[in-house]
Amino acid sequence: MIARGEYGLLSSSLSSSSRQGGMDLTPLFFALVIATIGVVNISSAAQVTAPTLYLYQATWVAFGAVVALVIGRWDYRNLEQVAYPLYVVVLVLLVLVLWKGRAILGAKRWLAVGPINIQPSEPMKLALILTMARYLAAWEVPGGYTLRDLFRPLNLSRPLGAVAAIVVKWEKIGAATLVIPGVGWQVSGGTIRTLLLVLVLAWLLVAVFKVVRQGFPPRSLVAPIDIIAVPVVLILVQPDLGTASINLVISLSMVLFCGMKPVSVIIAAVFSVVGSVVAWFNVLKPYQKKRVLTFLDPEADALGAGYHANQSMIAIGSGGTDGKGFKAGTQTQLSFLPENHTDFVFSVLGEEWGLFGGAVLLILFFALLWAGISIASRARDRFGTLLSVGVASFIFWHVFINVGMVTGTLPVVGVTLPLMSYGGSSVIAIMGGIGVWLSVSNRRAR
Amino acid sequence: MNPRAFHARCLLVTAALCGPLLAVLVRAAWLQLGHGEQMRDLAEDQYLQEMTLSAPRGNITDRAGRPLAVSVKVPSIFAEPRHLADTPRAVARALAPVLKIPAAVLEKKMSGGRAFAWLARRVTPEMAAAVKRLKLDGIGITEESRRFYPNRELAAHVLGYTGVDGDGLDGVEKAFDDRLRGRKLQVDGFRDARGGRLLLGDFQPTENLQGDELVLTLDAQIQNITEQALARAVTEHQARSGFAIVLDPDTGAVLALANHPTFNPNDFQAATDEVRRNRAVADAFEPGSTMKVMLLASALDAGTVKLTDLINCENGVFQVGKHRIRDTHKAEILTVEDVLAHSSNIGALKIGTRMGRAKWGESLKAFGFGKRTGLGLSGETPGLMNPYEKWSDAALATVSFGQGISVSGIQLVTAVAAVAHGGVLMQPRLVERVRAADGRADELMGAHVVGRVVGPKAAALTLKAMQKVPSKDGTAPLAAVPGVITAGKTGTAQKVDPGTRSYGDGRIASFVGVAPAKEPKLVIFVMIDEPKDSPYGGIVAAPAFREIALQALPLLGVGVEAPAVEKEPVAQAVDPLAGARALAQKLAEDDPVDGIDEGVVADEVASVPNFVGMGARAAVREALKAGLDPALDGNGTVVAQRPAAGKALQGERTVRLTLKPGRGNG
Repeated sequence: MIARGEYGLLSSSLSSSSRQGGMDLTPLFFALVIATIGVVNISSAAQVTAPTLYLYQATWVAFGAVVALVIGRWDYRNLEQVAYPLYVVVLVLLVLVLWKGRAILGAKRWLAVGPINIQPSEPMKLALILTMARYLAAWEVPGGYTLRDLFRPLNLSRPLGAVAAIVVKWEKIGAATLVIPGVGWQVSGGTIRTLLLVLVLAWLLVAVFKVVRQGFPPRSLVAPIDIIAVPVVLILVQPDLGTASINLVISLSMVLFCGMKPVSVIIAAVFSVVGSVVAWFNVLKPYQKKRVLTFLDPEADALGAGYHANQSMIAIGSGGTDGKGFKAGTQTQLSFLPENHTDFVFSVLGEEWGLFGGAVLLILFFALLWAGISIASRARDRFGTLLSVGVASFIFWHVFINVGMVTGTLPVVGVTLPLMSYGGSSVIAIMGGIGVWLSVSNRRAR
Repeated sequence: MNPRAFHARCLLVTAALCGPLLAVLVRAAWLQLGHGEQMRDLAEDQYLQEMTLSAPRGNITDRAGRPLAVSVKVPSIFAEPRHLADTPRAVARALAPVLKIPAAVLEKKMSGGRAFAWLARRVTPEMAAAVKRLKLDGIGITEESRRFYPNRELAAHVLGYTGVDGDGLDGVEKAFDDRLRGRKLQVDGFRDARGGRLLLGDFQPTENLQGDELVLTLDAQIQNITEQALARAVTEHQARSGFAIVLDPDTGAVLALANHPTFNPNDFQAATDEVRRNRAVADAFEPGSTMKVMLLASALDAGTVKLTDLINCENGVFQVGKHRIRDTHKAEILTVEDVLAHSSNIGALKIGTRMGRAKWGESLKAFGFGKRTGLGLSGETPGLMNPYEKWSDAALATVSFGQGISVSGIQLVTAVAAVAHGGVLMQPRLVERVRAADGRADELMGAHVVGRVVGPKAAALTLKAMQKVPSKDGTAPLAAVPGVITAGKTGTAQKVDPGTRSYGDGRIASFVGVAPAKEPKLVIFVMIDEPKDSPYGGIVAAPAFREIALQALPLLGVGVEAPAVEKEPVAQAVDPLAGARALAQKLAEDDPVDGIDEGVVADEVASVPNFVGMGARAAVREALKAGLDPALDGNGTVVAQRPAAGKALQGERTVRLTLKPGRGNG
């Protein structure tokens, strides 16, 4: 074990990365370059609406850099102890949101804690990264996980959860009709209720029998996939499709990184498609369907649901190769581009700096991720690796979904662009992640 | 997992990240390169907006460049209801006390899904500042051009006024609207998503677009003098209204044109149509004896008479057909000159009759009666002059002293100005020049000769005869201007009651004068409608002429005596003439002075006609024709009437007719 004091903050440098131990500051460097571009970009985007906003963002970035360095000096293994309690606390908050949350525009996402409003679905991303890292680090399956490993169909928690869900939604299920698309079948609420109850009770009996026979092993109580599924479903019903998806894909990326059997991947993919179709007709709220439809054809409703996507595409497209120039983007400066300093910062960059600006930013993000994964590959332990991969996954999915949605590649869901979108908590969260990378790099053994 | 496989996996993951990132980058490139043009067009559709720039209206000045009407920028408040941060109700409540408009009215303007609504146009800068302080989203302030008349009532009837959108509604504002109006230009500008407008960078078109400037022939000082003199005359004699026109006889330039009562064009809506009407131009009236100026000039020119010819004035009563013409100033024999000075109707009709229909009628036409003068103001009346070929003997007679013909004030003053201008008629005009805003040369609206009406000799002799009027021997001693020889003619006419179409009790007192009589600079016509205390032009209108001439002549470089009059015009002017005034009053009292054309009313009024035997309809028609108010009792045929047929009319205007059915068919 290397003594902590040996590697002071000041002795760390980019060049020190070749040395064994010592902090690898490469990701922080790229993060700061991106954040600087972000500050400059915000100074243009918010020029009309909030001319001093970029100064606040610069302050957050500076503070975030300090946070990253402080976390970098910590031992990331402390996080292993934090992971499960944090997960449980945030999960409780998510339940509280559904129960006591503030409804804004028909969605209960915010929880008032004294004077501040918190959105538990955001810290859930971090809690999931930590929890998945700890869980997957301790659970290695040679040749990769199978679906059976992940789902553990006969664990005890799932039928119990299903019973609870049926009890909570008893009335609603009774009133619902299930439509099976294509064949034109309709199943009435009463029938569904009876069928569900019979199935779940049978399932519960089998599960109890199995658990009793095996002598109550902990693994039989909870399935790995439920760690992901429970918070994702809780967020989904707020409803918040965007954040639920982000939580899901970040966690699944970590599972995939650990490895899955190819056959399992294929089966999972098939089931995802079927599940999406069923969800489309039975689960998605009308506004969510509208968003997806709008994504498929934004011009169909250019002033309504498609407004954001359309304006964003116009802004980026009209930027051309080299853009309209700093602070000279018509769509940005004349307020046609909505949310131009939060979700749609990339459109501002694309309009004012053109393809050139967008390419540079994406290359920088790629470099940042590369640096992070390179740290993951050199981590001392499996937990450090998975933690680093989780952070990389977090950044990657935000970048991909955000740029995807502003270029009209993906539906518009409220996902920010890391280090570019305005927002103190977002900057601190990303910088905290970078700090985790620094910490992992600071304690590598290989 | 062995370290090698692990490293390979990490590399694979890194490579895998490339895919999605590259995908979105390709998508961006596809938008920017593949559809760049299309997206740019879409963007321009949004932010480029053709804007209509409307430049301010051109100013109007008097002939010395003194501003009469100017355009000033004032704030207007508008709402873009779609961008309101709050409900229309809440915003309306916030704005109501500032704009002093009921909240309900404001709320209504902002409701109904409109994108734009004016809330209050042309408000005070203080109001705009207060609105700005409220910092309401969706409420905007823009600058609009507003017409402002700095001298308030001055020349109101000439200038006219403009509506809320800056269009000329009356006066020269209307007549020259095309020139005054600021040009509108379509330019490309930026608009933002909230509907705000930004002009493209360095574009400054408003200079060239400003409407042309009008330089009027009016002289603000003379206009002011005229308005004050007129107002004094109207109020002093409790008249219904009055007007005065001051003309430069050499050029036809209208130096002043005033109506009273008047109005403030800045707040024209406060005045009634009646007050806003430019009666000097729009109203036709029977002028009375002022017409004798044209009669004399025509007769002298035609060689019908000489000034020294003697005319038998029949001792004040003369029968023409059914009409009995009376002179108020009874005389046996008068010279032609004195016919004018004493305003003998009998003398005038004899001159007119001697001249004959054709000559007198042609001459009147040449003087411009019966058609518009071409002053250019809309609503000008052509007057009413029946074709002389159809004149009856009575008509020929009455037209000679100015009854049975309707003229406008501007026609009359223009005709008299022709006499003062050596017999050459000049077209009256209000605009001296149009000063183009875009650097084009000024457009001069110079003097325009209509034509010679009478020879210079006849004109000079007429002017000479007119000099006797403002003297002790004439009908208007109050018109005399100390130190300057003036010429003029009074008029006291009966008004035609528009209801009965016969002459009523209303009188028109007027005076038309030329100053100085030699080398005339001013022709002034003052007309006072229905003065209460005295109907005589020599008493009611002549002092106003005197006052105007006394103050205006020095401005034109003509010396008058008693230079102090400019400060105290009325007191100084009246006192030295107290004697003359008393004389005039005396003349008027014991024997009406001028042109009360008694007995000359419309047809068949001298005595009550016979209605007996007529059917009801015919009787009513005849009674109205005679200026009587028929009161019918029963139906069928008239069997009795009161007053009886042939009885002279004495004030009584109602004729009671008793009808019985079935007796003859009238």
